[in-house]
Amino acid sequence: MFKEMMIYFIRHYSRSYRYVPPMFGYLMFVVFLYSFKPNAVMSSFAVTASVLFVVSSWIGYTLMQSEHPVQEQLAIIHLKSVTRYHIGLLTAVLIVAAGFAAFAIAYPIVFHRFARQPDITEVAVGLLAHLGMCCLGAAIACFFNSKLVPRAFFAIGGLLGVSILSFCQGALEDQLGSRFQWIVWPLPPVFQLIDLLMNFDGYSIGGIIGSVALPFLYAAVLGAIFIAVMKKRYAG
Amino acid sequence: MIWNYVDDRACFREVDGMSLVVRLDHVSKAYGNVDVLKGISLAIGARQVVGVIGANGSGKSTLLKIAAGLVRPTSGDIGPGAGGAPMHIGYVPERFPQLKLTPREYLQSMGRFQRIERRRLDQRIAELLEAFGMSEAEHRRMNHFSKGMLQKINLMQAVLHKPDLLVMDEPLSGLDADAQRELARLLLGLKEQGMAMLLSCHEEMLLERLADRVVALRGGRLSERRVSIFREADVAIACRLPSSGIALQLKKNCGKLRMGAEGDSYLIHADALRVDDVLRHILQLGGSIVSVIPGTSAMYPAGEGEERYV
Repeated sequence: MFKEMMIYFIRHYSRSYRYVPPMFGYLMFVVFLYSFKPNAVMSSFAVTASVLFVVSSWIGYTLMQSEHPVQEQLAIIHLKSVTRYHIGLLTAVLIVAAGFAAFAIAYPIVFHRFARQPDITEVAVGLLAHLGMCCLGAAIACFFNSKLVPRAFFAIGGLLGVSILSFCQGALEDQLGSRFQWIVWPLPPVFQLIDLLMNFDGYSIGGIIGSVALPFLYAAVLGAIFIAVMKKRYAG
Repeated sequence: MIWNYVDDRACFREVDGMSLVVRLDHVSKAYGNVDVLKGISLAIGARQVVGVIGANGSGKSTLLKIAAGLVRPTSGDIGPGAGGAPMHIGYVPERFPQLKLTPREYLQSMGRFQRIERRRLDQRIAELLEAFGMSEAEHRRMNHFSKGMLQKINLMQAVLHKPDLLVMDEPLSGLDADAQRELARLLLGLKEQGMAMLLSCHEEMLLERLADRVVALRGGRLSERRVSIFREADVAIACRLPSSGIALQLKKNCGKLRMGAEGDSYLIHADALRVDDVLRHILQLGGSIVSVIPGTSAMYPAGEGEERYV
């Protein structure tokens, strides 16, 4: 049943062609980034992962938009669960975005675009960081779907605003000082992930695990809140 | 004209547990400060078709969505009738979207969402496409379909799992006369199969032909327009007949009968006044009676005249 849900969501999304701008935008960006050689491994991953955060939120937003509200009701009735439906929807976003993550990791390795071939740890951390960014992008996009933010102008503006603030988290913390640092804590931990990739050699094993795990935990909490909100909306 | 508010709570006891499909017990729904539904109690029996009429914005869609389990009432209970067993509910929304999927792709997904076994689902889809005259369009994307074709798919998705209750919101709305007739024919076919239905409708033609009972929603309360029990197809007779030839003979002997068959089992809908006559003919032709199911309007006292308001 879950497999069928993925087939349904991805098939329906693919027929909407809304995936074309983010897909071609991202593929062209990666190809362009690696058009020059040589490239540093982890800092290149930091760049492609950062852009993937924006792309996955774009995919999340458009995939949720592609589902007609009436069809959503029917699917929920057939599934007999609001939770199951939204878990399926989020998983479909992640599957599509994970394809982009795989491309971003595989392309430079297959076509030898790095100064040296990355070792297995670098590939694993790079892949997890990209997947973490996919989760964060999808989780953020949930809260800007048309049911919660009906006007596209505010939805897209809000999505971009959160993305920019997430990237600027480090600079914001410096500006706000230690007393007001908590203000930026609710923001998605994008900055921490980029910092890990940019300064990979300076991180301990514990630091690496923590920085990689944080986006997944953050996205899981946000996803659970989103599902609770949608359940409440359906309950009327 | 006298209108009495409907309160079916008495029927929760009177109706045999097995024949009750769904019950709404003092259901209210408010959106903000607006009370859309006010303490509605309604029981729908097995094989019963209940039509809901009312002005636009009277809360018909809300009532249907509550019955379909899509909206939770602010207060009151909604539950299955037959011993609390979980029900399969089919829901037909007013407007079905023009999805860029083919009917087969779409129905396969919706069927699998309901965990219908793949082989059985394929059979059911083929059966429905055939019955609804959509076999030739099964591989065409639905965004090129007419409203009538979309409404057929809408109905098909709702009956994929042979629901205990089919909830329909304005099923004929926006269709041309031909499409309305075609859809009404399909709905009558589903009624003959014994499917209980709750539908909102503005078309008297459909209510006349389909509904056993019509309730009106006004000011958040239900009022009843009761029809006579002495109407066509008031009693269903489940029986076994030795052969299809005998079935034809029975039809010939009894005249106007509606009959559905599955192997040697037959379900015959007969006018309440002719039940004795039909039963006698079945026995005379060597058939056996499995059960006689009274039309659900028979749960109420006989009405006076063709139609009356209580």
